[in-house]
Amino acid sequence: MTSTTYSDRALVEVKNLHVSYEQDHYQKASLRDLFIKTVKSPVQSFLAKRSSQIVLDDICFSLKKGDRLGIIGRNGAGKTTLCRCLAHMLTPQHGEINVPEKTRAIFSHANCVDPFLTGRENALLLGNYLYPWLKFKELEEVIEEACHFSGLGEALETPIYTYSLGMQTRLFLSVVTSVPCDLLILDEVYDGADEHFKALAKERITQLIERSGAVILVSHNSELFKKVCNKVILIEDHKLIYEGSDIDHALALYRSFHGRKGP
Amino acid sequence: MEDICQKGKRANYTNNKSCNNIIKIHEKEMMAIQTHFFRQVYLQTVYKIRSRYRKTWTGFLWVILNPIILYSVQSFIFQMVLKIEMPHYTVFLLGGLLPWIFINSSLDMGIPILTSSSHLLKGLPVNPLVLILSQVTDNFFNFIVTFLVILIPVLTFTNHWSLHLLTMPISLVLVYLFASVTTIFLSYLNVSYRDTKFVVGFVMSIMYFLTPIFYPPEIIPENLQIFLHLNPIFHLIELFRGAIYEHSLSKLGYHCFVSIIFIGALGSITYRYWRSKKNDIYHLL
Repeated sequence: MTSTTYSDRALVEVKNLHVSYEQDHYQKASLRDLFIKTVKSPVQSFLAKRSSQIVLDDICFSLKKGDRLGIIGRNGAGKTTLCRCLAHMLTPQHGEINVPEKTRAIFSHANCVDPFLTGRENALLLGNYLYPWLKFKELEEVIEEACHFSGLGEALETPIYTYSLGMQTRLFLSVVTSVPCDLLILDEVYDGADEHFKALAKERITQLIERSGAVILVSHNSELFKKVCNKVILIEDHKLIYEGSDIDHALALYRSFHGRKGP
Repeated sequence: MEDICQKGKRANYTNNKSCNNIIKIHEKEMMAIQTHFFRQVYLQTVYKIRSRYRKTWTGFLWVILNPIILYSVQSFIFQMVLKIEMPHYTVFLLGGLLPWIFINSSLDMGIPILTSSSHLLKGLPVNPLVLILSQVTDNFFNFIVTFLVILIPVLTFTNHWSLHLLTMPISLVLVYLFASVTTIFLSYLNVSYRDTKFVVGFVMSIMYFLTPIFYPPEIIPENLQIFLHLNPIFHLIELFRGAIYEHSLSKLGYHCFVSIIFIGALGSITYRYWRSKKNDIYHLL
């Protein structure tokens, strides 16, 4: 399935998305707690009504090829959960999700695969997870190029646990920005690395965004939204409040909810 | 505020009942995920083995030294000190102890793998099964090598070779499947209940004595034999012993059948658990 197939219709479609988590876990975080609760009041622990916490409620939106969508919302509003649903990491309780085959999602948590492997080996494993559709030969070429771009030199042959956080971010950003895809989801991955590399990476990310089918961007940087996005959605209290192309308006709406200056 | 809201396109689309409860995932995409899955497990395992052995023969020796020492000490104590009178006791012990060490080490190293790799699982769409299976496969590789390193000299020394050794692959496949399924289930459980690893460690130390590893199953009283047959590890060990020690095919079918039932049951429980708890597992990671 190539990206051109999507040019005439919606590339991403999300309808009536509903996601919730079970809340009981906070009371039973270990087998010991479970044992104590069950022995203390066996009937109650079996009959207790399971409460759930709604994270996303009735979310609908669609993207065409070339769209750059920004997601605005305060912490815990459900932005990352929405991105995880699009990446098939989470299964929604209700709703319909259509995303292209070559979807790549990157979240701020990732840095390396195995700290005891060298930088180059980590880069290859990372590439294998990010671009599973590439043939092994192609993958090796991509990783070679990314390693070169990272500018880590001989450090690439030493285990990752000897790296500083900045070096890890350098390698990680180099790998994740090396291949364009149909849908690119970036969840707060702009931070880390030194100023010099940040400038280099920014250029590379901008190029990647231009070459990719569609981009979904989660950030707290309003300047970035204005620069990159042509469409925004605002999530407030797990519901979609605004969908449209007026970024300033969405930011104003967001501020009116929170009385703050930035998203 | 109303004003601003109306300016933009309201996102609350009319609630289309017909598209509720439908979760569409492209069939093509699922196919692609499956083909990529094996390459991911393969690469992750190869690199894991590399990082463990540090790419040297001495590194490799270090990894297999632990089970070899454990086996040597037990075989010395039970044969020379406790004087268990059994023909070819060294072969008997090998069939029980080595599969046990494989299952135990897979659980020990595999159960905490999801919680310790949470940064990776939350950061990229990596299938958690890749990480668990690569750990079990790594241990399985060590197990096979250690098993052969001990088995060949022991069989030569005791002159206990037989064609029944050809049934070994069945035992190997079943013990691999059992270790994989158990580790997958317990590592999922370990995300929700963080002390699973310790409870399993405790249970396994008890099971070591309740499973006929260093003693023959026949010495267990008749009325307690039923408990023995409810222990899946007993059946797996008997398969190994049938191949290398007893040289009999009479119980092969029975032990295979029971092992497959256990693996199937555990597999379906694991699958159901994953289906119902997937979101919570990611949430709690």
